[in-house]
Amino acid sequence: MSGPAGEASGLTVVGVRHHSPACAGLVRRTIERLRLAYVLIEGPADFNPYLADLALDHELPVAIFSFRANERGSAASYTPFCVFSPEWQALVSGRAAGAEILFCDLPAWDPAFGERRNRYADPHGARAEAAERALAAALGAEDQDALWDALAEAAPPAELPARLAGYFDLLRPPGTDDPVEEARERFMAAHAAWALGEASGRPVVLVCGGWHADAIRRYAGLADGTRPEPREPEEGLRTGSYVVPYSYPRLDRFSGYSAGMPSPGYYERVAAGGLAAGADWASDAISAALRAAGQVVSTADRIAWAVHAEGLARLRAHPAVLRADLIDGALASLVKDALDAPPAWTASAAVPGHPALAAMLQALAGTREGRLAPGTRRPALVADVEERLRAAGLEPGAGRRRIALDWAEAADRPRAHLLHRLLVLGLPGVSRSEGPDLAEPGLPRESFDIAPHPHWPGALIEASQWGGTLAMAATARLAARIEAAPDSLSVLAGALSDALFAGLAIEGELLARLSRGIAEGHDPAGLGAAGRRIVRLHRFGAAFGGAARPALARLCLALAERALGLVEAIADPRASLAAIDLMIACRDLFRDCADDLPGLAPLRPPFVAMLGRRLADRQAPPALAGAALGFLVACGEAGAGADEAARRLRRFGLPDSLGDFLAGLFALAREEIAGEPTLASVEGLVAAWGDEDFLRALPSLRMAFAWFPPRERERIAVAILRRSGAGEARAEAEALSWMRQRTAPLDQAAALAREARAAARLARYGLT
Amino acid sequence: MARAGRARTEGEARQRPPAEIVHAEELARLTAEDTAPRPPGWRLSLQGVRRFICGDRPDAAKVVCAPALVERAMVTLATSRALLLIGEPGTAKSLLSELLAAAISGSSTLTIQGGAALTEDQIRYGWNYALLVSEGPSERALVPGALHRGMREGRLVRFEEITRCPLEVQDSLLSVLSDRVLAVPELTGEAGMVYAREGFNLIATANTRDRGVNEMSAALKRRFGFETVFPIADAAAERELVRREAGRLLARSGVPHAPDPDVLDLLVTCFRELREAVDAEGTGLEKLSAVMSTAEAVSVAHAIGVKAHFLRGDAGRPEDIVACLAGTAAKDDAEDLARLRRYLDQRVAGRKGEGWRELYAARHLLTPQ
Repeated sequence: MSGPAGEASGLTVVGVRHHSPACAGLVRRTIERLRLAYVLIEGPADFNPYLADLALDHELPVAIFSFRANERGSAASYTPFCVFSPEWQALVSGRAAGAEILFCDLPAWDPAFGERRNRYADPHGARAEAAERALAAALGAEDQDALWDALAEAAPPAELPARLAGYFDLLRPPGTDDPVEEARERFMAAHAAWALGEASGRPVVLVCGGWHADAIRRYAGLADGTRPEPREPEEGLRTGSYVVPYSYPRLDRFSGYSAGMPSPGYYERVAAGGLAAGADWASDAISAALRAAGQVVSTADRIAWAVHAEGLARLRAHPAVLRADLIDGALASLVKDALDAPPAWTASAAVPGHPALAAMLQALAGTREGRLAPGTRRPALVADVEERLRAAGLEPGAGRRRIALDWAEAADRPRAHLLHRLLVLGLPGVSRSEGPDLAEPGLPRESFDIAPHPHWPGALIEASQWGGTLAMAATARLAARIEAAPDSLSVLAGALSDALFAGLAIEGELLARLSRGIAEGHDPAGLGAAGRRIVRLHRFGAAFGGAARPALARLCLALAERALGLVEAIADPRASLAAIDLMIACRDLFRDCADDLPGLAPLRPPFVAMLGRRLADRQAPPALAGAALGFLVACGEAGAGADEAARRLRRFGLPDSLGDFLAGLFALAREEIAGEPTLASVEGLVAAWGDEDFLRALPSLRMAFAWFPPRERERIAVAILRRSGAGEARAEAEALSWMRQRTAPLDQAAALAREARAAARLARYGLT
Repeated sequence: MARAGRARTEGEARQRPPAEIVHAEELARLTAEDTAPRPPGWRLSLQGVRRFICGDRPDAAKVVCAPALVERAMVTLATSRALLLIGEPGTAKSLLSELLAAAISGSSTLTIQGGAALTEDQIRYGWNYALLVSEGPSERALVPGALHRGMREGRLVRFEEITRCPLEVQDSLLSVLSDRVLAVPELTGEAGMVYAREGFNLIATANTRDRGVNEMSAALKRRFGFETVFPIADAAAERELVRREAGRLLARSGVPHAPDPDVLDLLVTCFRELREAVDAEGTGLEKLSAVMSTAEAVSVAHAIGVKAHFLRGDAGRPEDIVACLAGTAAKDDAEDLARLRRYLDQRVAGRKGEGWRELYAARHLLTPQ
């Protein structure tokens, strides 16, 4: 443990592994043994004024959630505690002993932490890993966790300090500096030196990760004894630390972070009742989990498992059945299959090799969820959100409730803004169940579901990393979304839509990026999807307030200009299918928005002329030609009508092109063109093909007719049946059965093709 | 003296002596040093068996696998459930079962080789028909199968490729494994019931490539503990193993020098990349349907060494790898050959190093054999 010099000077540094029950016991015993003046704990020093928050009657696990945010984005990290954390035991027993308790590590926003999400993720270099592997191999343990259990959790209390000292010395030889961690270690050491001065001869205990212990002892001797103060956060950086509820699944390393102990559910029982009690709990929990998953775990299996685990423990000279013995035993006696990959806890690698193993590890993790005591300090955002929800009458009640909103009602718009902001923050318990994905013409109607959710309080506190008020937080969250994908048109358009629905101010930056993205866009599919969204938003008119309208108008014009150049250049059949959305966006613009967009009128003649050229072009891909024709028909351009359509149809009436052509045509002008004459000529063309041609054309034809809603498809079927001579009643009955086919049409087609091949073969050998 | 001398000559003349003869001295030493308690019927304690198989140092292991796997396997055998080693072909399942049998029972020769033609009396017992006809059923006329002997003598029985056997043959193990008794209804008296002595158990091996051919019944599965054996995860360990084993085989074939280390390196890298379908940079490859096992790599290294020494008088060149790959990796699958060709054309093409360049230059040798 502490070197002789350390004890003599009154400083005891207890190096621990985070979330280790054995270390928690050691910390508790050390604090109870010495009559302490100070207990210093590895934790954020800027939280010291709020230590009373941790003394409340929380249900563990909880964590200190710390964030830093500026206009460029925000980052968060956690300092988690469970009942058997050494740090938590230091807090509890330090309080009981009447010592002064302080966190002594740098604040979470300090650059020394980099991007780390978890304060207690121990740093491990390649050298330490190699040393650990060698030790594990020498002791016959399979991996780091098995090694730790055999070394520390199963150690007699009296031997534990010596074993820990040897173990941590091996990971990081005494006297070595770790440049990455040095700032933190010097800060903690300075705290220790200061506390020694204040303690006037009474002992001081410092609890920290074992990696740091030796360095802190050394640096403490070099510190000048003044109390270190964390630097002020740099200008414009917003920081904060609050207690949030945490959960065992998050603590467990398979779904959570990469360091610390796995299986918190199991170690909680070990801490409370010892290794034997832990093993009993684990075998019950694993059996229950496997049985719930439909696996057979008979009593005979459990006996075999218990015997196997006991045998492994004896072979490995463990004083009791440890976690690795349990899982190894379960693997040998419960899994009756070959594994697909080496089991995870033997390879420090990612996935368990078998679903049953995944279920076992999940069972060992436990499901405990933390809960905050009433009166815990909360960030400003929580009060802001609660106040706004109360004012709008939208508080989550006892059960789920549905809220219908109509944007035509002036009173509903602020409520819609509020709910959309909550959606932007991704808070649990709020969902939008109905409403236009792409806004329909006219004002939107929406409905939301609000229900109490167990994770709501924690999620709301954690959302405060984005800002102190709801509007601020939602804006910052959207900004971060854009920052993560600054060049993706779909993300930008999605952010624009969310901002408008949430009633947030539209930032100039977003608009500039969007116009640039549209002007430089080369991908017709991406441009089309974003374009349709923007055009629909524009058609909502005044719903989003006066400021949004001119901005949306500018984006619409930019879209039309870009489409003019892009559509002219499309030569690839696949790209032309992808361009259909873009053509639809343009059709909506030119057909429905001409009155609101004065700038659009000059673009119309060149656009129509360009489409005329593409239609006349013999090399144009069929889908694009179809879409061009559809556009002209839908916009009522001279010379484009049903007759023109029929004439063009014949040109594209080959099995390879008809489907694509019709897909373009129907997508743009389904309502205008789908009369009897067009369908009759399609039918005539198809009837002239051989079976093989028909089967080849079938997939693309099906895609074309997918643009019709089912009711219209049924109407078309009736018309076809009537033309082929069926009576009214029979046509309707037959059409209904066409619409509700039990076998997928493409399978039927495959069967037909196979039958034809068989028939041809039979004919060849004269067997018909 | 004379007898020992003759035994050695016989051992040397054997193509492949069993593990208990190859490692006879070590086994004797371990038995003498072993003080830990032994399960009934075992020649060594569990610790002793682990020392024998995993060695005192990681690089002294006789088979490259996780020590936990060996531990689990031993405990399964000691808790008198049968052990089933399952895995891809060429992952040293049979070697592991041989070592376990040699260490636990002192002999690894009670072996049943599974196959489609295996019948029940080959496993249990048969008759010497001449004696049977002249004397009637008697102990003298009975020809004990491996299972019969293993039970009577309290030794481990190895059952290779159990899933290659018809289901009814597999199921004839059921009563033996649960009641530990084998009835010989033709004989009367004590000889009519063979009770298994302490030390008897069964180690079966099965191939994941045969999965579904003769799926084991649930009842039989319940009587086995399953252990999956994986290809060697560590590249350096695999290279070392191939070097050692290929060197041993070459020496036996009369080739005086060890395989060329650079060629061996290329060979193991190719095999690992093709097996895991990922190259050194982590880019995905097409997976071959053939098995690229370590055992296969050893036999390729052996073939290269023999060919190079006896035909050319050197230690092997990268081009030999290409020639051998066609025969091992592509076997009779034209698709695999095409994949292998794409591997050489696309992945090996840009690699630096003399060896890779020679390998690439020799790609025309990749022709169906």
